[in-house]
Amino acid sequence: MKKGIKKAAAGILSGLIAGFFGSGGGIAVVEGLEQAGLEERRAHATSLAVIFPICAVSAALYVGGGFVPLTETLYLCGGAAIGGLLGAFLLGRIKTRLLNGIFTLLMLTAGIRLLF
Amino acid sequence: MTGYALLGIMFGIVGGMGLGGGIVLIPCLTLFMAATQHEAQGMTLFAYIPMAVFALVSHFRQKNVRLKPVLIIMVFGCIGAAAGYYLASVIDAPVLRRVFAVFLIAAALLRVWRQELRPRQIKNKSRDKL
Repeated sequence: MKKGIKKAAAGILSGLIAGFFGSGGGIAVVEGLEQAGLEERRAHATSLAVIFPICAVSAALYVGGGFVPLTETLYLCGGAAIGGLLGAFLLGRIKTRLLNGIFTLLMLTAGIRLLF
Repeated sequence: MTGYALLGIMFGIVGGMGLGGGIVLIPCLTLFMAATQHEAQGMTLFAYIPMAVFALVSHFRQKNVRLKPVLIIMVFGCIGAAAGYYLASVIDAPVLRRVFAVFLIAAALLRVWRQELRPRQIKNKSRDKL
């Protein structure tokens, strides 16, 4: 029961993050799954599945709000589909450490740039 | 439009690995493509769907996904998402952009902690007790 409440709270939190920021819902999920003892690769793959319905609901709401320009989004989606295949193929085949480091650096730079 | 396709591919690769591509795609869209904060968020959420479909097919084949233990998280996640969207929709874009910036920096620091500073005992156990 206690575990169920924890999971519900993790769900609400990741939903709030995804709906509000349009991304990042996976952070709470991956953290929760690893705490629960799921190995890192499985935690990352499972987090994708968890976030999927959350993202779909949020995306539908953003479309309803008129926040999704059609043509731009189509090009973005085409690229994302190709990249998604590549990413799943690469997971477990290459070391993610360097990629992760570059990504963290990008996040910090972009965050500071957006503040001002 | 080429810019959008290229950003999509970059986002897809990182996202497909479950490393969180959207969080970098959003600032790319606002800084390089002049999208508003709300548009960038909406487009990123939308782009997540094809990326996740392709990545998930591959992950299901490799049996990396454990669905049953996470059903509760999914249901409550959708409720949270609706609440989160409502909050975002009533905030002005420049304000949302700054709140997002703080979130981005916090998430980056969390990554540094997770990858470099935290002891690795959880990963090494690697048992699926969930």
